Amino acid sequence: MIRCKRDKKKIKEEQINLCTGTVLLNHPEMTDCGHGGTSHPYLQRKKNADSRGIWAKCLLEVLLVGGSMCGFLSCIEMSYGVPVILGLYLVLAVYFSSLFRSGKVWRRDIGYVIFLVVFILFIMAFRRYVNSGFYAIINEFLDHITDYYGAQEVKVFSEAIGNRSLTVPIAAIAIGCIEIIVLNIFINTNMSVGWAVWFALPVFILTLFFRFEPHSIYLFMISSGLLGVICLKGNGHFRITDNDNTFEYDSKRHKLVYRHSDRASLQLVACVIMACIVVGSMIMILKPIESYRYRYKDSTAKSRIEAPLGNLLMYGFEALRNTANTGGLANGRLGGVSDVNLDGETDLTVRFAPYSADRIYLKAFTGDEYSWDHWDRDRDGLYNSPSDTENEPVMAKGRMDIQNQDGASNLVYYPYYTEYDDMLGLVLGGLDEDEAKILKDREYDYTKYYINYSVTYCPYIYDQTSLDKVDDRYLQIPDVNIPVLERFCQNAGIEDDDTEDVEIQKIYNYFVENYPYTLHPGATPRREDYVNYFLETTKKGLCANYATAGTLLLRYLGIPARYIEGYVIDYNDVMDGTILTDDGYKYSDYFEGSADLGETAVVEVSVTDGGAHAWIEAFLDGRWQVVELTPPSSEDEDADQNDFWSRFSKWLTGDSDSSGDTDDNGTETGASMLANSKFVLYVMAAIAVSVMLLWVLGIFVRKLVRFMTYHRRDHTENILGYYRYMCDYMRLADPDFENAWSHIQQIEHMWPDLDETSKQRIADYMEAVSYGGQIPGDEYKDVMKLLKNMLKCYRHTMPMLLRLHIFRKM
Amino acid sequence: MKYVWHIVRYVIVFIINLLILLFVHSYFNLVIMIIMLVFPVVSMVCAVITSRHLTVAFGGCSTSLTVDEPFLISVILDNKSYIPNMNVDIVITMSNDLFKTRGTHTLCIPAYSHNSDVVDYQIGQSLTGVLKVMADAVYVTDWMGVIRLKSKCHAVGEYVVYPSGNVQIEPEMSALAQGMTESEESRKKGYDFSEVVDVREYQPGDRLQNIHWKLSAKNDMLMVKDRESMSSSNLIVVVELVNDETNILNDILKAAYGLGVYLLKEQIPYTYCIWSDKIQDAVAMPVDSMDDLRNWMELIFYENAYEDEGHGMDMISRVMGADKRILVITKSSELHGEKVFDYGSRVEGYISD
Repeated sequence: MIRCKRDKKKIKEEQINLCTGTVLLNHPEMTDCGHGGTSHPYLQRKKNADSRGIWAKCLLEVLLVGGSMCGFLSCIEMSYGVPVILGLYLVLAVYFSSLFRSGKVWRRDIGYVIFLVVFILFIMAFRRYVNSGFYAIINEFLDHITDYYGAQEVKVFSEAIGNRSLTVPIAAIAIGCIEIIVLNIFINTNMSVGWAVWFALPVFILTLFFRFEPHSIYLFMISSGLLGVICLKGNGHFRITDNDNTFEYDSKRHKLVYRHSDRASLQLVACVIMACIVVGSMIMILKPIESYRYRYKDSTAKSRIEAPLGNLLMYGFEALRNTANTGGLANGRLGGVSDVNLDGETDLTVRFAPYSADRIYLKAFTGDEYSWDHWDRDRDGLYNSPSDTENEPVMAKGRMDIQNQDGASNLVYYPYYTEYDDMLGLVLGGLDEDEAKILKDREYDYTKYYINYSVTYCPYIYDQTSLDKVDDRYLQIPDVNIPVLERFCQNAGIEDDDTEDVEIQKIYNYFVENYPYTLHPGATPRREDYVNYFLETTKKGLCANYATAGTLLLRYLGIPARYIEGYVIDYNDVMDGTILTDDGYKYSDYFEGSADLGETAVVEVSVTDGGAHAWIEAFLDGRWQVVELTPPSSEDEDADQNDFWSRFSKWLTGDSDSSGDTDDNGTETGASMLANSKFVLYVMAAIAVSVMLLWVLGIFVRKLVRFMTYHRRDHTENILGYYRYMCDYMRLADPDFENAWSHIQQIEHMWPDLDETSKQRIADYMEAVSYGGQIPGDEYKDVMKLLKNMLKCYRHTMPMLLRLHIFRKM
Repeated sequence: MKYVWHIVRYVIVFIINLLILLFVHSYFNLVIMIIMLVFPVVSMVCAVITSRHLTVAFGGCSTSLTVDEPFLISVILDNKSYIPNMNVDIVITMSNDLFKTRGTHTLCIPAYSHNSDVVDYQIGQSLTGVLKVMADAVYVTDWMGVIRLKSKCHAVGEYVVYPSGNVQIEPEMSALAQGMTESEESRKKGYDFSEVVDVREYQPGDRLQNIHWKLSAKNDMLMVKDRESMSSSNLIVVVELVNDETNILNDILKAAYGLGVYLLKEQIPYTYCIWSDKIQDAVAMPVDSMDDLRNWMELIFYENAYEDEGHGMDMISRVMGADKRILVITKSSELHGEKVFDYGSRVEGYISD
């Protein structure tokens, strides 16, 4: 190998023979002398040589990355701080391009390590800004999509910092930084058109799919960047090498070719930019976007995937799997929900006269006994009805028209204190086949209650059910939950002499402080109890988690309680509803008596699955009362900093989570430790896999490069390439091979058993080939076959471990 | 093949954009598609314009060039248009007619917008003679690297490379004296034994001592005497323009030049003479100064060399008579007469019998 390097150096230092008797002594420089001729002294001109300039590449990187990133932001109307973003992109591009300026690999490595350290520090210092900015971009994108679909607003990520004009540029810089690193490598090494296309076009597919067009300036940037890369690639002359020479000489073609001229590249890119602006502007004048959109027609493919793509983007991958909407109610089934996917479509349409600003509950499912992963339906329990309130005066009476559009079809939804008879009571409790048959025999049309029905309810009465009607089922707790409930009550600070109200308040406060609400609680493993897993492991959940755990906690404290599922209508929903002004919808038809809000219009409210809810009915003060233990969905949902960067920084700094993962003695709980250990393990495994993949990729690339050395057009080069490969192989396999200086000695090492005549023949042959002898096609095949056989035979004599070692090294 | 791959690559990018356009029907992709359709035309038009505004010239030092001493040749590409180009291939031919050598190479440089680009070659010339540098054609590749246009140009540069005056020739004076007649010796002492062969009008450059004052006064215009030196018919240095595959002529010329410098230094007058195959006659020039010597060498540079050793001497002998004693500088051989000097082992000067 040393000899090869020396030879190469020698070849490089050879003078170029331009003609017999005329040699080129120097490495020519390309200098500028102004228009018209050599007006400046040579040395002054030499200073202007620009064979190591990087500005053209920097400009291309900024055009592509800046154009795509800022263009994307402009699509969703979030182009905050664009000059700052582009300026920093330019700084980053200059930094990374300058690493390639010297052509020395070690400088690049050091430069990347320095940047990595700075980048990690930057992320750790600004992680909240980066996260918030990133979330803001996603949220805004989803907002635009929901607008496109006409769906209700879906907010997936909470932004810890609300100042988007600050967070979005920081996030854009962090993302663009990675893009510039990747693009810079491929621009500097081989002016990769593929990567330029990758950074320029696909990023807009999603936004363009939903008809969010970027501003024209970014269109010019993208097209200029793309065509600039194509032009520089087509012309060559972009690579800066370790060699100081401005020119390289191709001795075969007798061609003296300049390596790189930054000035020429810059001028070319400038011309491309001008061409793009002129042509693009003409198109925009002749065919404005408005007239194009006028003829906008969706492609068939787009129409087909529009709905599933929208669901995917708005509600995640679960939306693809759960295409049938369940109305948000689970009929008491627990634990199978890893993410709640709100489709934003109307489940119920409710028509009524608003009477109060309080939340209205539409009850549908009642659970009495809890078991592991579900609630049993309370089929024969008592329901709050005006008929039970003989001692309570009916102050007002309302009518509610309910239309089940996309809600669960086997449930009936009704507000509290709905008037019903025994028959309807059976319907509300859920019919089995026998009961349904009985009702049918009695010609009772119960099916009308499942689709479109009206109920009468009394909003201002209080049930006075006597205590003896409360069944023991409402105090049932599985044994497996008791220790967990006990531990929870201790941690929540509930004491024996606390009143019921205080106990409920303490449970609620403890939930608010330590059990954040989330729409992504993660599925409960099959072998885990739903309540125990929630209280001890995940410590976050949605309404079903709080309602289930809360019901058992109340029961543990001796308060009869049951689990309820249904829909809630908040005052905001009412405000968003449609006021019915037709004569057919009179207030008097829908409400009688005095109301908190006075006489209002009749309103039709669309209840979506976002209104689906689970809550608790607790028997307090001698009556069933609604108890809410679900914490509000806070803007600081991610305040527990469970995002990747937070956890990564915690892992780096060794900072354990102090938000509640410690027990009273200040030691980390087992579950928390397990979770953190798992995370660390995942990170380590990911790093290990990445390293492994890189390693394999490196081997593959080396093999490919080696393979290419003996698969060229020139047969002589191929034979020499393969012979070189054999020699390299032998040097690793046999240290004594270094001492073999001649072909005959080398062949002796490779194939000792070969007879002397054949050895000499092969050696002579290689000698001839080395000095430029030409080889006929047939002979070439034979020689290659012979050489391959030689190597193959030698390999078979080697131990397997050594073979693997050489395989890895070569 | 390279150009085909550039086209294929462009088409692939175009198709990717087209597929996205067909899928999402976006204005963004529509504009990019039209730009990509128009851009090749723009690229080609710009290449045509650029090719018509390119001129090539050769500059650099052109005086007192000597063999084996480096000198600069500047290739100047001037782009009068405002359109830059990344790939301008200048086909440069270098030739030396005396030695019948010729080499062609291509220089690939960019054409800056409305500016000139200079590439300085530092040339080491081992052969004397006139190095002729020509550029007949310039090839311009368009921005996308798809087409290559040829543009004619006629740039020529000539660089006269003299032998070095530092060549050490020390002739045997006794042998050299055989070729010098009394007249030369007297002339060396300051006397002039030359004959007046003609009287003519004065021309700039004529020596003052040759002015025919009496006749000038009579005719009211300066008249000069045209003299023929007595020495020209006696001390003649013949340079054989014989050449072979080892370029022996180069050494012969170096030796002749070195001898000429020596003789001038020693104030020994002499006449250089060659046989010109071009005009089929002997060409002689008395050398009195370095300028004469250089002019003489330059005259040789435009002659044709011949392969037959002794050919020049034979022809000169026929023209001038065989009785002349002549100093001949030619390829070394045992068959020659009395040796005057050696230049290496390949060239010698001898007095013909």
